[in-house]
Amino acid sequence: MAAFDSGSFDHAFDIGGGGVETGTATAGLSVSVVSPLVFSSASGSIGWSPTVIVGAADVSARLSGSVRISAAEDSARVAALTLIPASAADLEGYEGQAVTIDVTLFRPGQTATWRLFTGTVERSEFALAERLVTLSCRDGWQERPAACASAAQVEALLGGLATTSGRLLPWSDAEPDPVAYFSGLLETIPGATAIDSSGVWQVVRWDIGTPEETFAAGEVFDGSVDVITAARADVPEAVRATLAVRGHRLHSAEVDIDWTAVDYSLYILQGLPVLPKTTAQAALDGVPDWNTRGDPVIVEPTPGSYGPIGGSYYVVSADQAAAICQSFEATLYRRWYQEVEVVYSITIDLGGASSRDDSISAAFSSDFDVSEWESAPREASVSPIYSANPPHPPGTPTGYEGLPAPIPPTNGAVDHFGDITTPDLQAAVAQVVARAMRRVGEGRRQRRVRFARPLDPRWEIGAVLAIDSGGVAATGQVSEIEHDMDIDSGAMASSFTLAVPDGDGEVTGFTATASAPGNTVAHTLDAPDLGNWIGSSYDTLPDPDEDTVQGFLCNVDPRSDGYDVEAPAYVPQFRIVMPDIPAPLRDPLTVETTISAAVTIASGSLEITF
Amino acid sequence: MALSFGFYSDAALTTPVASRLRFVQPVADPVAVDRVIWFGSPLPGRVCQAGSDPGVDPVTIGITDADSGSGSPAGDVRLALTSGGLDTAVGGDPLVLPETIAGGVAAAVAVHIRVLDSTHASGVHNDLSLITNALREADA
Repeated sequence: MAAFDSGSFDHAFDIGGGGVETGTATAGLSVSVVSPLVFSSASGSIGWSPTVIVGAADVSARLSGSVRISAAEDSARVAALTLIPASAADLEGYEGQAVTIDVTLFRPGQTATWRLFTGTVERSEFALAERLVTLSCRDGWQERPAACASAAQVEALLGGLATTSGRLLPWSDAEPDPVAYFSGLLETIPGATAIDSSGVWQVVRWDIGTPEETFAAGEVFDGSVDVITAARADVPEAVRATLAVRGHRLHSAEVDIDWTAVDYSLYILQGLPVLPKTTAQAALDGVPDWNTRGDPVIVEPTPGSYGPIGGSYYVVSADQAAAICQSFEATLYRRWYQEVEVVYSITIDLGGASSRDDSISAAFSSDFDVSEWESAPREASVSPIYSANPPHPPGTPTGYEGLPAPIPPTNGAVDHFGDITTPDLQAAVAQVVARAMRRVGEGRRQRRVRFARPLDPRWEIGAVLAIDSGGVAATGQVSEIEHDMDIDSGAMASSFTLAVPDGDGEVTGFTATASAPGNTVAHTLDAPDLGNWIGSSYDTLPDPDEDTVQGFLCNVDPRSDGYDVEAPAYVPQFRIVMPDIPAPLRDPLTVETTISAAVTIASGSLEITF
Repeated sequence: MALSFGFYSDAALTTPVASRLRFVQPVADPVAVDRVIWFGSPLPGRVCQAGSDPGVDPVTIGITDADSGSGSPAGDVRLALTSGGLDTAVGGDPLVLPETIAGGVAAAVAVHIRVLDSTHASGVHNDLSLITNALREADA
């Protein structure tokens, strides 16, 4: 028995695996050389003939009823047709078949063939009583974005008109969602998408220039002209676009402090203790939230014999002096953060009557690890490489070496947004303004003019047409099309809906810029007054303000003459209480700023006369 | 199984070109009409080569005229791999593709077509077609 061949086993399940195939691929061309006379509505006769291919079968001879095709911006073109199936087996095979619908127009001496629809059969419905099957067909507008495999492919579908922002609308290679990405970008384009009658994806700008054709009264059906004004809800008073960028305001404040010991005479007269260096250093190191910039300057007493006072001396040996703090100077600094939300906004007047709040908002946040920035001790961050290799020539240390960046200005603040770059910000601002522009454009394009004329397949979505009929003179852009051909009666018509926006230019577009606002934060924190507080003394204040009791706290020796057993005694310590940070500099902050933007909407024209 | 390689109307290879590609030209003062279709296979793992000498001879797309002497001449059609290439392409010349074309959407080859009528004769001309040379499709 032959050994198991895992390769062959796997291969057997490969999609498309099927060995070798041979043949040729073909695509027919049809060149329709057309005289404009074929579309003339001048007196005379015009004939037409549909050609419908389902799969590979020409079903034109089996058509019954009507063939109706409709198209609109940003949606699939759909077609519905009814035919007489050749057999019951046909009913099983319609769904999913490719469909093309062509029409050939005849006038004496003129012929023109146009494609009206390219798509697939979505659904078939068989009416047993009439033995007719109705095919509902659709083009691939929904499927096309779904087939994209990368952000670039989706963006290409929008013809470069989309405004991208990786912060607001990111693409994930790990979990791609091309449909959502397409939908998001579609909201930013100054135009529309459609698949044309030949099945080709199209992106059309909402630009309205010179009309390609003007239809006079004799070119449109009597009574077919309608003027549709925008609904009140479609045109709000204004569209407000806001972008919130969340980051941090990083503060830094420093305060100079100093302390000096009492006169030596008090050591003799009251037996006061000296302040050990270790106590002073521990006090400096132990101030909550504050750190010492660089190293404190601690001054030792000069060794020697001081006195006599009353026959007594205060003697300081060299060894003792090395452990005593006679005075010190230090700079304490504190860094803290404040959550800040910068709100960039713009309000675009739409001039509508609706007070409906039509706003567009978006937000993104910095991923900066601000807790680490705030709490990282300086020493822990000093690079051993730096320590072992100090710069040459040596610079003057700032005392902030080793702190994680950014370093705010002294007694100031810096607004920090981590990895959010200026291009990120500009792209996000542009995207919210683009969305606002499209919202405004959509609202204004709700003013429409609709008319119908004999079947006219020349125009696709986005074509600029004009009409001057029945007291209505309008120029606009085709936003909806409907072709209707009645096989039984021979009637045929095309209905066009023109978007006739009340705009302010020939093109729809925008410009937008924004810059991060600066800050003028300047800290002036009061330094604590570090003194010497002596307890158990006749001079001890009975009820001092606790906030002022700072510096070296000690007590008179009970054996000295100055000892007062009834006076309050202090817990010996070196006490430093640094000033509080005011709430407006700590609490979350919102900063409002404006976007510099200009939005233009292509304008149609509409004039109605009675 | 038939060839999975063929002509598609979209880059995602979702819609095969099942019927004639329509080009409309005004009878007077015609303006060139460009169109792009794609040649490829939606099946990754398949490759297409010329049947004459697979991997050596290139895949080609030619223009055939089923009724020379009437309708449109092949010279009215230009083919190119880029839209810019249409400007320098010679009407009626075949388009040369690589020797091996892989399956899958990413490997689809864009085929740019330009039609400019020279007949100025009103009517519908269905005599032209695009056709590849003999192909051999196999697993990669």
